[in-house]
Amino acid sequence: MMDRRELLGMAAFGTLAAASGVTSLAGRTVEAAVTKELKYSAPNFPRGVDGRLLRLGTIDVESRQEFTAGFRQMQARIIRKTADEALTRVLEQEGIDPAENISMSELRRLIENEPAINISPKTWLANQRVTWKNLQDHYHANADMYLSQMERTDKAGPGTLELAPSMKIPDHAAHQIHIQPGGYVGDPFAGHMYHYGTNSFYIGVRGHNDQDQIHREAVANLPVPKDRKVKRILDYGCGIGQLTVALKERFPDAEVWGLDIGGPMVRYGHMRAANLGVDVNFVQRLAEDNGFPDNYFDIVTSYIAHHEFPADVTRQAIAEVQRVSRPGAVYYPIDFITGGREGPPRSMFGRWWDHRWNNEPWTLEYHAMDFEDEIGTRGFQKAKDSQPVVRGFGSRHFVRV
Amino acid sequence: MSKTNATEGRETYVHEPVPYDFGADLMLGNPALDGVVKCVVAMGAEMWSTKRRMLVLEALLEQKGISSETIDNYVPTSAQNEAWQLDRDRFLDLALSPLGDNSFRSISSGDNGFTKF
Repeated sequence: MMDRRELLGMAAFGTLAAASGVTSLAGRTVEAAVTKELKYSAPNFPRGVDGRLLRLGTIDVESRQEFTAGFRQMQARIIRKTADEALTRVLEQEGIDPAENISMSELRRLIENEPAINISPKTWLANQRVTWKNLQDHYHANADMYLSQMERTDKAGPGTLELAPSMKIPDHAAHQIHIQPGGYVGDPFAGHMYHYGTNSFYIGVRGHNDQDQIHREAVANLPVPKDRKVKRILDYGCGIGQLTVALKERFPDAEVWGLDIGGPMVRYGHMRAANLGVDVNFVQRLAEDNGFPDNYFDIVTSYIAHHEFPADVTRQAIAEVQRVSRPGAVYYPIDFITGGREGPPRSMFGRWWDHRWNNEPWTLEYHAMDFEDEIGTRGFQKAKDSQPVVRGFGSRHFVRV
Repeated sequence: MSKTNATEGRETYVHEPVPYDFGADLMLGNPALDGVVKCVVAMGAEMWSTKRRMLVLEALLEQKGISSETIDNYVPTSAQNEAWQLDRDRFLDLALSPLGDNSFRSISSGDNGFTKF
């Protein structure tokens, strides 16, 4: 269950932000959103729910996930620190200033065959492997039950689900990102695995997200159009729809759409939204060819999607947002701050192993772009004095010209 | 675990993923060491899940009147001690005795351990 202090802290932040004019909560608070709980019948789920989260199927599966979350925290606190110290020693030996930018090839030359440095990504990846295997084994061992659950809600509401089984999935979207087996398109339980796998990930990186705290924080702080008209919202690259659901909770009168290329992802997202009683629409489509009418949306968002796109797809997706957003619409794509092809060694080290070994195939292309400049040249203007909606990411508040 | 046949005949909306070289992450200078790290982390997960299950068990026992203090203060019988020590030794032999394994020596030492084959 959500830590009450954290909940209160977030609610207080939302109220403060609304009062200061940074954001509008449209009369709703983050606290109100948490009252939504999953509706599952007991016979299939004897372990019950924890607020918005279905408890994992067995205590052993749950315990292993709990281990991986704890391991990530320890890894960040101790092992990564030791590796950083080892990298510093190597830089000193080589006479390289740790604050100076270096290229990826130079970084690779320095770290290759340095166990004292590589123990950090090694342990991180070993933990990641346990995360995925634990979950995949469980879902496939109980495949009939979990498939039946999705089948029951495919055509049930609230909300709608549009799947495209014969759709040609482009290769760029079929990578096994984060070494998740099957990626977002290749395993029927991709959504299940992503949900519980990232819950472990968040604890080690950004804090708890088992009640969608991070997504709800982002949405609570999301700016609205100047005329305050919010009839339709698009969340592309929505994955399992945590941001999408939070958007509907904040804007209950709006028509909210979640779009993703991963069929199993939106299928799980729809099931979860329906069980939460949240009326959102999920579609399996491409961000760069979303099929919506021109000038349709008042707000368009995405959450850490673009670093999973090749640079040319990012440009196409931005152009598509330009087409479907009406003049004055807010465009807020949340993602990492881009930083060019070079950086300080420590930063490049993280970027390298994440790209190569955590299978983030497009992240180097993303980082090499000036993402904000790409948006600015496609009919959007960056809002003055805008603030990041979630900690750790830059502000990406753009307005459709 | 192999995938079950529960998906047969059902639409699962999956698409063939781009292959990834799982297992190619050799970065410690010796592939065996990379494997050992994977084993240790996986063992940790198994050990913690066992320990957590025992914590649940103790919590349930406490509800039934058997406190953790009762468990802590339990004195095994000599027969139990004997049997448990045998089990401990089996565990040590299986899990930790490879630390003393000298079948493989550094090739640079001139005695690489392979000559006996």
